[in-house]
Amino acid sequence: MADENGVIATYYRIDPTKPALPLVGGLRALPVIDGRDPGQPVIAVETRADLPPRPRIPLACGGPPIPHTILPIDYGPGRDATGKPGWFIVSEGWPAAPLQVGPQPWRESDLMNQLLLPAAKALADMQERGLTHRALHPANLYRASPRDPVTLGPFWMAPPSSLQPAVFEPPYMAQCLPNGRGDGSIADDVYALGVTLLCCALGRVPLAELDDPGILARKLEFGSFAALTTGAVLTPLITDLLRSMLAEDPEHRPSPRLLLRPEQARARRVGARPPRRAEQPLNLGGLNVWSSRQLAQGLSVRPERGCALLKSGAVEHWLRRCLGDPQLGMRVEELTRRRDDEADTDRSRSEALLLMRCIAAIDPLAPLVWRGIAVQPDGLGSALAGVAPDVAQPLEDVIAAQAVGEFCRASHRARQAAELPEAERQWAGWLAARGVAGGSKRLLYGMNPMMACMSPILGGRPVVRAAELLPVLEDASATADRSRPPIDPHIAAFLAARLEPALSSNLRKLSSFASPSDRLGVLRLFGRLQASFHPAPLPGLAGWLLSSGFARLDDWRNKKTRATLNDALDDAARRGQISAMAGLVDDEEAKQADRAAMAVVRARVRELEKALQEATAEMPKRVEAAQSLGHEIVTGAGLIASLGATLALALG
Amino acid sequence: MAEAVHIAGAQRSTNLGRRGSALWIQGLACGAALTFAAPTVLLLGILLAPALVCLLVQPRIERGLLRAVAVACTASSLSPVWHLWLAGDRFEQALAGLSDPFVLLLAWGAGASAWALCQVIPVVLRGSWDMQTASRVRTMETELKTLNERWLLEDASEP
Repeated sequence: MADENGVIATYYRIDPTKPALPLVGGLRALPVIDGRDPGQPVIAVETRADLPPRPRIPLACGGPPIPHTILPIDYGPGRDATGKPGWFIVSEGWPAAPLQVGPQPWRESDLMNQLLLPAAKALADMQERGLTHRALHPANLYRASPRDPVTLGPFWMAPPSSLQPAVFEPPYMAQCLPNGRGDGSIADDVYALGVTLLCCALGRVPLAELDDPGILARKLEFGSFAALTTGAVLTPLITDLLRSMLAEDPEHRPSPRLLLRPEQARARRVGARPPRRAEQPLNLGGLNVWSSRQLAQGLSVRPERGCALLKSGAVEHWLRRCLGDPQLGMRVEELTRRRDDEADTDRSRSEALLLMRCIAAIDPLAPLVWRGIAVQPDGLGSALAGVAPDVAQPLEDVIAAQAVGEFCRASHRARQAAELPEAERQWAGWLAARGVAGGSKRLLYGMNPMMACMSPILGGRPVVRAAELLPVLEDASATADRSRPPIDPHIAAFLAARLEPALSSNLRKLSSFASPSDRLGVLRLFGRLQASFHPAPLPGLAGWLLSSGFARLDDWRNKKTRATLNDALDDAARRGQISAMAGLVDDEEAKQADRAAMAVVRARVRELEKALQEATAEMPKRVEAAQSLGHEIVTGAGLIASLGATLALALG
Repeated sequence: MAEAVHIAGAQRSTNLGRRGSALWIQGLACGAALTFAAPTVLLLGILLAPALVCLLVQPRIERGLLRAVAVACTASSLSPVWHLWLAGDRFEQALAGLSDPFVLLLAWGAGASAWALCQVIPVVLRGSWDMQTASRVRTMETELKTLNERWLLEDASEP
């Protein structure tokens, strides 16, 4: 955690004397001084909220080193040389210069010894650890001198493949949202290594004259190997290796371990057939498709037209008659009929489901496509980060419709079909959760465990872990508008995603920040956070909570008790002890005693008010009663006098 | 309905019949008294004049006041009536009694005193009660004020 001087993870401080290193995606890589060993080259990569780091960083940290790979050492918040706060991942240093492609082609021996073998060794070790690189291209490969083997650049600071140019990605990855390509498999790294190998062998980047859709169309039409190597002059070894490394089906690519023995790898023959080409194209809204893979891609980019053709039976007819694949035609017909049978009231959703199922059936390698947006199922979470609302909404719809499991089954992805539906139910639960800590924000932070909180209250200060929140809020309290609460739906959803269930139970009950019970819940939560993560005083945040009405004493009716508690609250806020404040406001025993006393007082007040009313109401009756009693007294006196006179006369 | 009207009419005629009977009995008693004790009636009629005046002048006067005046006059008339009966209930004796200013003054004074007391005693009683009530109200208001000072009652919701 960053201290006041901006030290990252206890030991690392940004070196103000050295310039930032170039890094893919415009990210900043800053030289760092290791407090334990100042001579050791260490670099801190600054992360961005729209590019959440790979969630498996903790697994990668502290493990045995992987040769020719940059692994993270530690991570946490800090400050750069100008004092600007940031969230950094610290790693061992790497050579300053990235790999240069061209102008001269590399020799075959250099390609083998300096690129293929070290990279394959690194990928083989990563595969053993269950990791993928997914950021393998020349700009992210480094070497100290032209005779040195390459080192694979950092890959953990952004979503998988999010910074990869389209040419280095297999077609089924390239058509996805950059953040939504998922971890993929090591075969995708082999593909990227193959393209990098080709770049170095040619001394140029192939298809550089085309834009991303053009590259994708070319690869889909001719296959990756043919599209990338057309007109290239390559040695037989490189040609054989590239043919297998650039195979369309990841199952057909050689493993990194096999690539360590290039002669064996080149001898491996893959049984892939070239894609079947139709006699006539199918026109999809101005887009002519000739093969099933092109059809799947065309349906994903022209969803409205594609859906209309599917429902009219034109696609099925084209598959049977023009492409000559009656089995696939039958499958599509079955899916279309199934959609007609499903009584889904939401027409748009049922059409999206139909398209998704059909695309998965037509091309099992194709990504999940929903209303024109393509993602890999395991990239849904990172895809949500940093996208515009019009893109985020379809992604949320995928989860709300629980379409991931359906997609995995339709595309025969056995492993994902087993794992993802359970996770998807949890995602749908987060999305459906009501209250300020639920919904799309909860989903965003739940699916991106390393994503920084996007709350505007934090003023751009990155907070990735729950333990980092309170110091940042304390920092923000100096300039914040204290009449507004120090929590918003972003922070609530962030905490709900990051905290243990025991700590976050309060958050699930929050419906707003306005009701007294919600405000008490927030105070209690901050108190627990302080007790758990940050026992140091937080006077700024405590004062902020007090000023914005989160430590109210409305439940107390005894003025003297309230005044005493108010003084105690002020004192606790000055001392920065939020947990003490929560304890004062949340003293249930004292509240019970106050409530009991108040009930007695209220009963007495009612009694007094009734007696006063009766005293006022008695006045007219009392006039009458006094008159009557007065007459009775006089009459009684008269009767006594009569009796006395009678006795006196009788006795003589 | 017709039966109800018939019953109501029957009740009304019964009440009128009873009142007529009482009046008739009173008239008979007065006639008998005038016939057999005319001097006593004369003496009592003069001595009980304040009560009769009250009855005639203020027909709507409270019965309690009328009763008090009548009882007071009666108490002061007992002695003259006793002496009249001892003297054989003769007119001369009744007129002699009435010509005694002390007898008249006593009877009428007693009536006047009763009337005056009936005016004064209720005022005194009411004043006394009002003082007691005011003292009690002050005590209760003080207690209410104290409770208001010590407790926040205005926003307290009723349980």
